[in-house]
Amino acid sequence: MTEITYQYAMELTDARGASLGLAPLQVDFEPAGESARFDAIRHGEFSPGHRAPLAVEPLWVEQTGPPHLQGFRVRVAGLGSGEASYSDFTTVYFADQARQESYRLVDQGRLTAGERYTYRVTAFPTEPATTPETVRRFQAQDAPRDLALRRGTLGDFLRRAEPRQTHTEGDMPVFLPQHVLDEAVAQAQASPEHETGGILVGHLRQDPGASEVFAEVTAHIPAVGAEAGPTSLRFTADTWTHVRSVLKLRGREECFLGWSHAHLMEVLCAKCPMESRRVCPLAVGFFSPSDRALHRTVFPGAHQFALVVNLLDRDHATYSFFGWRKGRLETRGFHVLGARKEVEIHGDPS
Amino acid sequence: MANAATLEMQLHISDVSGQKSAYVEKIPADSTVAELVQDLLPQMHLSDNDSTGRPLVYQALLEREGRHLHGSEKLAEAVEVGDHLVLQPNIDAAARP
Repeated sequence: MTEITYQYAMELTDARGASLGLAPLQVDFEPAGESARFDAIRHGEFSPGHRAPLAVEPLWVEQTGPPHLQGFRVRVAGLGSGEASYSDFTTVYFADQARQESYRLVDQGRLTAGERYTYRVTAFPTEPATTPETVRRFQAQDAPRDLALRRGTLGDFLRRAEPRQTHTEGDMPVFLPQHVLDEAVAQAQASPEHETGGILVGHLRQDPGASEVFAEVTAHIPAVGAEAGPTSLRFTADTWTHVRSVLKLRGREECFLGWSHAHLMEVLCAKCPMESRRVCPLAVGFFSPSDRALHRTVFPGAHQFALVVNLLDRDHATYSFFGWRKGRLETRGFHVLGARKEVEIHGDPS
Repeated sequence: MANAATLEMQLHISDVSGQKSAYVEKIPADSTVAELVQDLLPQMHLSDNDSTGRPLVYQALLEREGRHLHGSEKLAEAVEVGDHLVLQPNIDAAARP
């Protein structure tokens, strides 16, 4: 469990530099904790099953000191008397909450839609909670989570793969076979009026020589049992159960690495020509609030990712790829095993 | 020694993708599946609302039988020692900005 001993608050400032007030922040530090822990595992500092406590501490702005933050530090305790590991985060971590706060201020008429703003985060020490803990009928004890890392040589995979999209240093490498991308696109093309999706499964591999962990996707399992509409896709309990059944049948000890779904540009951008659809913000790096909430809920592991197939029309598609970076969901690159030359699909791939 | 109203059950509870995992060792004899799910969501730090604030509906998959338990089922009748339950939500991806 993450130990927090500060109350956080956010102040937005408008384009003229006027303060828009101080708003308390309820911060979800769990993605940051996941990031810190996974980075330590990636670099061989801790074993894959390491579940030691985390602690969050503010990093103060050098010039002004408390209560103004330039970021925060997550410490991952070592086992016994072992050395702790830590990971630092900047105030970019709070950008999504700043955006939400700006929407609220626009609703109140204190900011104009589209107006630039800045934000800063403050932290104040808090007293330990004095309210009694909620009485629960059941007591849950944390169980160890083993990432089930397999051995692998990163260099071997890189030699067989081609990079796609923009790569950022520090991201865990992800390898998808061309057939997985083809299947996701074919699934979307077969259902151009309703969103489609699936689960990406495979293995996490550790290369001790490279001090790195990387992901190898081995299959795309269609979201059977999902309820689809033109702009939405509901993954149901039956969907997840189906995936578990398929994994059991496959018998390859694959794990849930991520998910995919399609955005139908013919629906979202029905009135726009193809040239506009290609560059529309809804087709380039768009991961909606619902998509983010689903990812946060079902795929909170720092190693987990999402593929979006942007179906521009029945014959053309592009990809967007998302993953966790320093506790935030961002667009990221991936590698294609057995890649074809073209990323875009023209015509029926079958 | 277990209280007469409490059963010793080491249940393994996990989320869909296996990233969150917990053990529950004692269950009240008269408790239901729905009560277990509602109690564990906050303890396992599982989201209980979607992006619009609406409550998420979770079902508990009993791995041993491959079926979703009904919320009204009594745990004492439905599960056995060492069973694995997976908490699975109905949740939407939606392309609305």
